Amino acid sequence: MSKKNESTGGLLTKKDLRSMFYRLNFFNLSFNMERMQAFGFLFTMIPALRKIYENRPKVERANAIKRHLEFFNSQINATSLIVGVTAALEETTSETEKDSVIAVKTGLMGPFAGLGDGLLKFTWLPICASIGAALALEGNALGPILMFVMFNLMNLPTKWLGIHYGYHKGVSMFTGDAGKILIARVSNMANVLGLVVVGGMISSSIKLRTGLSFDIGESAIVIQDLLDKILPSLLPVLLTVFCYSFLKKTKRKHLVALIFGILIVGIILAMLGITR
Amino acid sequence: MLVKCILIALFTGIMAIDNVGPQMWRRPLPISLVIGLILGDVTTAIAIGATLELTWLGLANVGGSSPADMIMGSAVGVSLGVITGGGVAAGIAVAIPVSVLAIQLGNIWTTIGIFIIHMADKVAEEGDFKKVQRLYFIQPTCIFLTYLILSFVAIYLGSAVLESLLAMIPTQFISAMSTAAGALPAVGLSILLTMMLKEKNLAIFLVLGFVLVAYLKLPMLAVALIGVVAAGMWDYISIIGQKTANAASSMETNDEEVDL
Repeated sequence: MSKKNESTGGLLTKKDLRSMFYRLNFFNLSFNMERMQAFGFLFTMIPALRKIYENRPKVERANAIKRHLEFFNSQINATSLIVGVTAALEETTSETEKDSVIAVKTGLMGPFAGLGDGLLKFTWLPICASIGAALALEGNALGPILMFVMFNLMNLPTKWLGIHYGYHKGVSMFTGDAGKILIARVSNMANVLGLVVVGGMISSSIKLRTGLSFDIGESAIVIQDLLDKILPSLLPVLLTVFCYSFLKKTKRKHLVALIFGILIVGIILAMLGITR
Repeated sequence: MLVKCILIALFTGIMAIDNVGPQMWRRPLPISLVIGLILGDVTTAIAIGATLELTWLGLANVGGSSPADMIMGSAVGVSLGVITGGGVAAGIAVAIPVSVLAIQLGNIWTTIGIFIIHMADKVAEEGDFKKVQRLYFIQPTCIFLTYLILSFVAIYLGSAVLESLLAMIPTQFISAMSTAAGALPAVGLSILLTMMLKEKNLAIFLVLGFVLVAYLKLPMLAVALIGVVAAGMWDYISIIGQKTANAASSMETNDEEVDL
């Protein structure tokens, strides 16, 4: 191998890694059902492949392209690590050893999808969204802006750092138990954080109250007050339990039916004055 | 109005690319802010956007299939909700069906993409990165144009249709609709829970968050910070639990060795 760069620890320069970062931000442009994100992966790898195969024969370049057009599907932010590691592997393997590149890339995409989805899509994004939505429902235009800023504070740096760190560390990051344990710990912590926030949102974002009241003699019994004494936000809790059980039983197949069902029943109840 | 619809349509096209690209802005709430600015009614727009955001919380593109096209749904729903004056009720009523119909768009492109990648296979033989790269931009161009044209048609033509529809519906119904829409975040939250409650013993943390809001009425950011503390404590407890288990098993082996 020829010159190694001080800053990146390998053949690729900072400019190459930066170019890969930009391309990673266009990962799903040509998504298809047969090979999913494969084309996007190739697109992201091109700056690395160009540099690594600069003086190699055409057939090796062709093989590299074909190699990275194979099936790939994972979560984009977590993929930044896979991209970095793959680039390091491409650089350090000879033409006969290229199978290991495919093996590592394919082996990582499953667990990383789970990690990335768990951290970003199902924890951080809902947190940003709920804070932003709460403000927006009060009429505060800062809500959407806050959501945008908070989310992208995680979105962009993880992609940048992932590529650089993955390339720098190479495969050594994932062999051995230390990596697996770390991933499990981070997943669990994210899960806890997400659950606390969702628990709070059951109370803050679901608006369900009953307007029923009964007159007994001279005093009126307001049902909602009674319910609040049992448990504040009782109705939202019951509704969430119902939706959750429904989704679990039907394995999330009848999502739209659930939404329409709640709307229709909700409209009927509201018109009858049962809810307000 | 025409200019505004064109601007919204352009923005929708850009959001469709953001959806398959950087993914920085493409959610219902941020989209509603821009549409609100274009139409001159930010308050209504972001109210619709926030409701949609909470309904679709936890709905994400997992493994290539999407249960709702949030881009088309938000763009058309927010726009028509503001333009017709129907507010949150009209916005939701439009957004949900549109989001379901528009999924078919995604299916068309992901199928056509198969032909494109086969073309790339052939070009791969030449070992030419530039040539392969050119094919990469066919699909996104089509996606952009589709969202641009369809959203424009839906909003420009749809507003007239929807306005006359709304005039026929009694206000009582519309306010009932708004009340009903307030319960929709339950759907989004339960979707999220089906993903998160894989570890049954963590469910107790829901109670923590619930108490903080229902009884203590803390703002969401405070709840999130306390959640971080809870996560840190859980991690610490897990590590201690692991160490105790390791220590116990190594003590057992020591006893066996002594027993000669």
